[in-house]
Amino acid sequence: MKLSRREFVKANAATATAAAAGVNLIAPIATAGNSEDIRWDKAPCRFCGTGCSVLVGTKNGRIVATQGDPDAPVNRGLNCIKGYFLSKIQYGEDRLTTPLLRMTNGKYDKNGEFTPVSWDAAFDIMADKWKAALKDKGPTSIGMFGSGQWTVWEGYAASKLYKAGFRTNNLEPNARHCMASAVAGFIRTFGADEPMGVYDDLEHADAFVLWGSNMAEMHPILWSRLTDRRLTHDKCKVAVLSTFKNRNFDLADIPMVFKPQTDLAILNYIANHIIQSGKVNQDFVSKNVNFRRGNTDIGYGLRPDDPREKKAANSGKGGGSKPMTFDEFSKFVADYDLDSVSELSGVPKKSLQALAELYADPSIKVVSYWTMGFNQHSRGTWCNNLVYNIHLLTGKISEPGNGPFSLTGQPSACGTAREVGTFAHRLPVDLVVKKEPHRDFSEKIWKLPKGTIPGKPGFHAVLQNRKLKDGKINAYWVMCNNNVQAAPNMNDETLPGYRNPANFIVVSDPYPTVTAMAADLILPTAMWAEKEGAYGNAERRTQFWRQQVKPPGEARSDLWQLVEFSKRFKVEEVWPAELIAQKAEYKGKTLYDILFANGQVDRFPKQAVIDADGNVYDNDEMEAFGYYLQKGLYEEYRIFGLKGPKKGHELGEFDAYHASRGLRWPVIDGKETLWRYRTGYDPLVAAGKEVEFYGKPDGKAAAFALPYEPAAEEPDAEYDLWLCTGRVLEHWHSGSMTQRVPELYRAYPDALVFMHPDDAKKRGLRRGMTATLTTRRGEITMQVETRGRNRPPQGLIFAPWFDARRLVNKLTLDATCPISKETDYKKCAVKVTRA
Amino acid sequence: MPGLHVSGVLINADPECLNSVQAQLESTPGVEIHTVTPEGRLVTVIEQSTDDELVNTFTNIQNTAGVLSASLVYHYSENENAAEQETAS
Repeated sequence: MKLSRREFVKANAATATAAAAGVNLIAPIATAGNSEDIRWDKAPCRFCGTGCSVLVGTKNGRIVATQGDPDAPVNRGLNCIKGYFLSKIQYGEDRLTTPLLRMTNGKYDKNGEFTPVSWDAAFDIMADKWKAALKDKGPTSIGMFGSGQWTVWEGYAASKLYKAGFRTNNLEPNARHCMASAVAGFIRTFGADEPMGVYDDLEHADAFVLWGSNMAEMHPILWSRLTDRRLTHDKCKVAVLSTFKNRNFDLADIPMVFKPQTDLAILNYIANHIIQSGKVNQDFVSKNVNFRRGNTDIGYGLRPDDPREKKAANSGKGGGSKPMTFDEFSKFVADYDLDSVSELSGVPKKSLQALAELYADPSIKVVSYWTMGFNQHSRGTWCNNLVYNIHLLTGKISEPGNGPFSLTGQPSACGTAREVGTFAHRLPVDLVVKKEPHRDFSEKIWKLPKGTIPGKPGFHAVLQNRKLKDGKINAYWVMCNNNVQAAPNMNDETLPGYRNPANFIVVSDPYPTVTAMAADLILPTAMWAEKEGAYGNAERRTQFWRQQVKPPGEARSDLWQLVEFSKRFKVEEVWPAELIAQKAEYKGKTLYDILFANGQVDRFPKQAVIDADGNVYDNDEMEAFGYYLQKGLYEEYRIFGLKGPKKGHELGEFDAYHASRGLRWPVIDGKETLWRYRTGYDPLVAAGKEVEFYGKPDGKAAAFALPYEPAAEEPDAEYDLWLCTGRVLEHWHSGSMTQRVPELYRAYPDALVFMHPDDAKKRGLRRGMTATLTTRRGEITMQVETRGRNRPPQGLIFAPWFDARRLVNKLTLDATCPISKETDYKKCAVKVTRA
Repeated sequence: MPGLHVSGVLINADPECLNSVQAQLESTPGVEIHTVTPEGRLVTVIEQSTDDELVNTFTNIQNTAGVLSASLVYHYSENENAAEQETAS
């Protein structure tokens, strides 16, 4: 039979889709292999934290196609609209291909024009500036802002270079803006980071509760799995909580729009309802839960001279808590009764009761999902703690279909930022710099003299910008993120630091982003499939990919940049003599010799990278350094999980990941772990115990009594609306990649402000007109949208942040959760007028 | 570039709105429905002459009343000349 090419392609499309739907059509399943001359290989998607696997099609050294990977357990062949256009993200017209330094008359000048220079010249001036800062003010005057989009080994190399090499903890990932509250919540309640459950819960649960998570737009593939469960499982119910109506409400059985910040009260009401209705799982609670009273009135993470900080009784002491009894806890939450919480939150009583029953009813298996609504919250850590309370009181945790699950926004927020520990206070696998045994262990693995790693946490993300503005950090490297666009309060707290004449700012990026344009030196970066990589997704799944194509021009991977830069420093230029004296063999060596050519990282010789079909792949870093750098870094990092003081972070061998669609840690004897902390699922639970939260010394989780407290800035007579910022389906984060895909750009070119039609009318505005949005910190203009996917109630507007021409973070306030230091991007006061 | 732009789209629809969703899809140029299941799954293929039109069609499907989710499964793009070549099957 002859088919036209057109009919053939359409038949392939139909059969692949039917297979994904679990429906059989007669024709055989189309596979990627059907397209001639195209080499296909797997890679995790470059965008969100879901961790979909895609098949990458390469022809003549260029990526020409991507498609959902039918063998991937995460997405089962499905793809979202961003993933659909992955093949185009590396080919934006304005890719950076050479280092660019601001120069006048052939010399560096902070106010000069960007001028192409060689890598040598770029590293020369960088090293000069780093050495000058070290000499002048010491290690706290240099810093780095990294990424939850770094590959695992890039984050690990950065951590070594900064914490061990430069001996500064001023290393942060952009993930601080994204899920630091989830981390702080996990550590506080369970003593160990990351979810206990997995995506398999989507097929086991009877009920789903979305707390501040626009899953339909931000995690579309998980949403399609959730939708499928809702439609095929009779008792399935979906509850959606948000401060405005979004696309999730289409599926919601219990839709709830609540007043900003009152989620704290709703969470406590549910705990109260569980206790009052006698639904506490007494056996579970008595065996597995401690109760603690957290400090209150903890401020808003603003500068110490802000009146709100001066007024707060426990500003700077947010993390403190004291033990309490279950009875005391019950009394604490008793204030959060149905009447008062309904009044405060604006949610009807009937809905609140129905929501509470999903948790209280022992016959309902329930999963809670949340993203930025909880995390970007001036009480973000509390929100996380309070949702754990509910799951702990009922014992609905750590088993199929039952559990709390924080979703992540970046592809390796978990794998790199959290697991490798590229935060100012962390070391790999949940170790922290302030604990001496943790530093000692890290120094031992890294073959460093005792005392190399400083014990004081460095400056967190928001504080880094303040310290740049104040001239305390003078040499700063921004890599794999767009922080000028992403950080809050851009005009007052971000740009001044970048343009401070005392500072030298380096930005590594594939594209001339807002951040790159604010830098003094731009380094062109190889991205995604132009290098070998590893990401870790939200369900603890670590996934690897091979280098598919060469980067353009002089672009080099972040890994190459970090490791190559370390060659520029003799140890005598960075470490004090007493420290070097402990390891005489390090005298005269470079940081590269000590950190990377250390007999561990360089122990895997150069080899060919070959897949199961015999295809051979490049590895530019292996070529440049002469050994399998990624494997060496990974295998050294893996020792932290295998031999470190915190169990539960065991990873598998390097080669196992190239051969699989990822593995979920802890990986014990080559086997992944699905549900942590429960016997039968998690081999690390001590014999004879049903449940063990082994992150805590006594194996018990901590439930926290924490109140409702108001937001840092609420609407008043002048700034009379709430401003909530966020994302849209078509664009990922700051849009630096998706805005460069012509089809995605044209599908959603400009950020629009979503508002209630009555709020618009009161201000003389209609749909399509231009409005001025003004806060105490800045103003921007946007076109008004009163219909469509997002429908705010009166009193609130929603504006996305992807648009580099309408920088929403000129408006936001740099208030953070005082415990997690994560910014509240969801709440500040704004006024809207006709432009 | 004009040519052959095909994608397979899996739609989950509210079963109670299945008829209206189906009618809406059938009246959309370039959309073919291959299978419908009683649970509300629709296996569809979209064909358009440019990727822009394809994105628009996909976005319109997502915004159709009764459509709960739409995911892309397969896509194929090529320029004009290759589209009418014959392929043995």
